[in-house]
Amino acid sequence: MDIVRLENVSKVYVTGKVKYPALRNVSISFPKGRFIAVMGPSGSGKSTLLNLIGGLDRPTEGKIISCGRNLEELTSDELAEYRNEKIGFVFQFFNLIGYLNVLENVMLPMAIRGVNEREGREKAMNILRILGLEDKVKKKPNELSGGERQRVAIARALVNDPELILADEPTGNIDSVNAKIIMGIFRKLVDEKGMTIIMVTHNIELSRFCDMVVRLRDGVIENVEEVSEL
Amino acid sequence: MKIKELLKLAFKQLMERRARTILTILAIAVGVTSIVALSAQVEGVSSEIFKSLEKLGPNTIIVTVRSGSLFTDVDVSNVKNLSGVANVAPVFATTARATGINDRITILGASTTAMQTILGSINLIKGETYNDVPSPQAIIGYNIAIDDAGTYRYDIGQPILIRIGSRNIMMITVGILDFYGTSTVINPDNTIFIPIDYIRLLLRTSGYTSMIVKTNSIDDVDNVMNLIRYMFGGRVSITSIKQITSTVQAITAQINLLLVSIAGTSFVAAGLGTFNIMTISVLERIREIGILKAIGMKDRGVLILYLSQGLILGILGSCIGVILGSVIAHVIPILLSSGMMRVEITGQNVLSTYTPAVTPTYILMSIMIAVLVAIVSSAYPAWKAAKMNPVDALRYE
Repeated sequence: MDIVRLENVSKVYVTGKVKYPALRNVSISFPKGRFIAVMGPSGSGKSTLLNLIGGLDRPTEGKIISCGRNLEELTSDELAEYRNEKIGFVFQFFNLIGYLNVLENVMLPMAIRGVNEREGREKAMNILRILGLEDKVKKKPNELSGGERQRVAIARALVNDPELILADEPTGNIDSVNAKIIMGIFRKLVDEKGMTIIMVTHNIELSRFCDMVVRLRDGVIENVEEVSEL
Repeated sequence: MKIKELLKLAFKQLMERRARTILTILAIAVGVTSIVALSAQVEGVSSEIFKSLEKLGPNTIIVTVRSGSLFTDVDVSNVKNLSGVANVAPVFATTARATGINDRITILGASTTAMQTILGSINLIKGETYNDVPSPQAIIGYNIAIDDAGTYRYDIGQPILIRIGSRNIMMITVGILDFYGTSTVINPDNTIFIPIDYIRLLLRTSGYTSMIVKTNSIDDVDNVMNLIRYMFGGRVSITSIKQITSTVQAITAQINLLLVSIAGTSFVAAGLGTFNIMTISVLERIREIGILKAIGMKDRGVLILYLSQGLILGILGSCIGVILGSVIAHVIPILLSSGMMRVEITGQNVLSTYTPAVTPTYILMSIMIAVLVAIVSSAYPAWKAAKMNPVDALRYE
């Protein structure tokens, strides 16, 4: 069963009179419950693909069905709800809110969803405990190491029980030891919780943690491989 | 997102840039402070004036000779017989100089009954009222008897030398009036009251300069004024307390409007300051807005987040402004009475004799303006933040 399906999706960025096609007529399906790596050189359209699936941007052409919703038909508010309830984002630069502590950062998606504070706190504490961050809850992001910050970002991504985790170079800004820890967490989420993760990465070594690799070049899908085939 | 959570987030954002937030709050507070402090002065002065008018009563008419001969006993009797007139108190007023006083003072020849009519009640801090007989007795005003240091220039039983025109007159102090403060018809604190018959004897006149006329009711005032005007024509000026009250009301309303308008201009500066701060705040937080949108905050949520920052700035600014304004409102009269500023009328610093009145109307008005200015100034930056494309915001360096 597919969790995401793209049909003839194109995305063209326009800067002044210059048009830059980031994705060209892409059609692909991502199966549910798999850990999928999207790889390719810089400018190949990896992040654009992730942004379109995550409802952060809209395609110039084509249709995206994600988590049972046709994103084209969603209003701006409905897209925001989709991002909040169905998607968990993990970014390369963590993107935590600097003036909020770890707990508050993790509770934020629940606060946006309207979950009451007590329930949100309990759930956030649970996830932070699982990720080994229970003693860091009062710390601000700038008091944490890169690996810890990325774990906080993962906790924030998980807190609303999303169907899909979209990770854009999640290990791009941390050392190799922490990168393996993060990959271990992702693997566990897929294996134990049946979650789907689509991860953009440059790092070929990380693809061994994945079930599937999608290769992009110049906005076109070059190939799709099962990891065992690699 | 619940409003409570948005407000908490907005407050945290503001606290992250504490110094800037405090300066913006103070900029807003300046406008509120000015309105509260200045309106309190005008309200205070007008309230004092109204109090003195109330003492005279709204059914009082003051008739003063403008040209020609003074009022005679027959004139007084004719006015007394007019329909609607309850009582007439004839007085003789002139200006003079007294030994030890630099400024000119008022000499008012009046019977004790007339005194009562003019002052409302005769409040003496020392001595007693004079007998209505032609003898050199004087009841002297507070500022004449007591100097700025609070010591007595003249005490009971002491003679006081008065110079009216080229004539020197020696009077004996029999009573000292309490402090009356702001007054509209006469200034009791700068006046010496002497028996009416004595001043007429001294100045060899059988007339009176003014008549204080009391009507049976307020409804009779206009009718009696018309009758008096008919009786004396253009040689007298006729003023009713009712008229003075409405004139004072109109003047103080105008002064208040002027002061509030001047104070209001500071809100323009505060508004621009808030707009500037909110614009910078949004620019600095573009990436953060992208994050909030990525994790599901709706455009409306972002809009409220930044508008509520304006609201918080406005509320805090106005609270501080009200407190500062109330304090300054009470400091201004102290500065005025200490002689740092003087507005003298007939030798008296009229600004030293009122209690400022901080009124809820102006507090509410200034709070509303401040909050409105802060919200309006935040509206455009907030709208820009709300309309930001999440991908562009996340990519912003």
